Amino acid sequence: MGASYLAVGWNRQKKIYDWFIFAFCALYLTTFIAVTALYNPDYTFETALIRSTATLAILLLHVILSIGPLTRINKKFLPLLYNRRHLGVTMFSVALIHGSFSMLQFHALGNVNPFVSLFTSNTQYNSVSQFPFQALGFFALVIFFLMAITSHDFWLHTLSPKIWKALHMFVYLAYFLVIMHVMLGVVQYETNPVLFVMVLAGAATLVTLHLVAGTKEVRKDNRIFKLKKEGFVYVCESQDVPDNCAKIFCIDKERIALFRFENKLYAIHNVCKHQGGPLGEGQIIDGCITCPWHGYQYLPQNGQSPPPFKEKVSTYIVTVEGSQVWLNPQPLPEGTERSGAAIIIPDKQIIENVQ
Amino acid sequence: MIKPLRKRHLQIWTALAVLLPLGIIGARIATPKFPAQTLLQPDAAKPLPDILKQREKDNYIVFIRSNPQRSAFQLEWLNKNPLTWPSATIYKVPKGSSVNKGILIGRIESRGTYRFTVDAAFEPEKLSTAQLILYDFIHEQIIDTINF
Amino acid sequence: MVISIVLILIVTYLACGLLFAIPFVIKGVDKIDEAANGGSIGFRIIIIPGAMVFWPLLLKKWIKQGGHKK
Repeated sequence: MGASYLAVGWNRQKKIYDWFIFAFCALYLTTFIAVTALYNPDYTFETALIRSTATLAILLLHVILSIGPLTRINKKFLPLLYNRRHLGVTMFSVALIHGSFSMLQFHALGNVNPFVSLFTSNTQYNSVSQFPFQALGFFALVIFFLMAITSHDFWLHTLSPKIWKALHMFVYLAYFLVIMHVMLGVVQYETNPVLFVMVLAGAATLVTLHLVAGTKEVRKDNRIFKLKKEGFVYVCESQDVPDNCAKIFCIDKERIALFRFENKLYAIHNVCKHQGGPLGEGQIIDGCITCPWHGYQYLPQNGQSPPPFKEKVSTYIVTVEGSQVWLNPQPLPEGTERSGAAIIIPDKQIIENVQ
Repeated sequence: MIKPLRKRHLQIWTALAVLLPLGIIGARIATPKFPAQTLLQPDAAKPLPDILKQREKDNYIVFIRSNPQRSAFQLEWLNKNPLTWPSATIYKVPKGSSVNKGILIGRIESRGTYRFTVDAAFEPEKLSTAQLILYDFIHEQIIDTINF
Repeated sequence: MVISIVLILIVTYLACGLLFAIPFVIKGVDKIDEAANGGSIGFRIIIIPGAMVFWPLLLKKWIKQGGHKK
């Protein structure tokens, strides 16, 4: 949370996550290079390094791009989302090793500047099989570079969330460039279909995941609330909201999270002030609504972050009539305190609880 | 995420759902039929028994191999020393022509042995009108020509 | 030829960025973003590459903030 910036806001979970990423990358690279050395002893170390980092970076990119839709399909994937940026920076570092060594091996041996050589050594831009695929990889790396250097929250504040998000959406263009870099590069020198099948399967998986998750969200956004009364709309039955969790409703184009905490219902705006994370997909931890993306916290009673933090979100008025939950979609000013709507528990249930 | 952002994501992925298969399959179709060698396993093809022709240079030896029936042919490239250029391609061209008129046979790297399956145009009689060109495709330079 | 010129321009731009980034992370960053006050050394190092790329924007903000303070 943003009282003062640290290099990285460490906690136990983040440390485990980062160690896992590091261990996986190290294990992958050493295994790849060892297997190459064993089965293709003719290959130079540089070639093995270029290929191992290439495949690792692409694997990581697929993981990164599938985390978003996976969390929307199943909440169990949320821990992956929590530290996605570290995964992104790792992917960039691995891709940078690939790019640097490729430049050294393929473009630095002549007397032409390697960067100039990259763009002038092959200019067959009108050919498919001879296309200068190196340039595609280079531009993808530039995009990853811009994303990596702006991954700290400071840049989110400085560039404004709108520009920051727009910049980071370029990852999709970069992904397309990377895929074409592979298809017009190494695949053109291969008749073995393994690489082609892997690229196709990876792309098909990502497209399917994103389309499934995307249409699911659109359906949620387009739900029509028919029952209306004095500015309130009927949203659900009180027992539909799980304890310490929320249900999300999209009313008048705004998403509202309805939380249940200590048998009272509280509604707040679903969008986290930090990076637009979906608060309603988080849980109440230590009495605070905790954003699933980066752990920003808000009190359910007033939508304010506990001191010393200063973030505030809009709150909404909720009432319970019998078992029906009614919500007023008119937002109160950010951080407005209002009492929660007590859930009326039927007598029968109370007796059962006592027994 | 906010609603416009969700919509933008869905739009982008709908576009990618069209562009990615087009790009991937298009590039696959455009892949040249030669080289028959696989880049990741240069030694994959077994050598054919008979050596029809042989040319030896300082750093490498080139063989034309065939089976006893003369129904299959192979070009074998053997690097004796690590070569100074990282990777290059071999083209077969009519004698005296440039690379543009050539047929790509395969790609070699600075070390190792490479075998490429080639067609009957590599029969010794027919080969007298052709030559091999070793071409650095990155710097667009002819490195060597090999006559049989 | 064109590529060489573009390359020189980019390198010059980034070199200016580096010159800017050093005083910026020491002093300027505290001025334009109050949350950076007391930011760790690690944080200051981590934003250097970004400052090299986005230096014109940061310079503009810095000048604007400096004016306000006076």
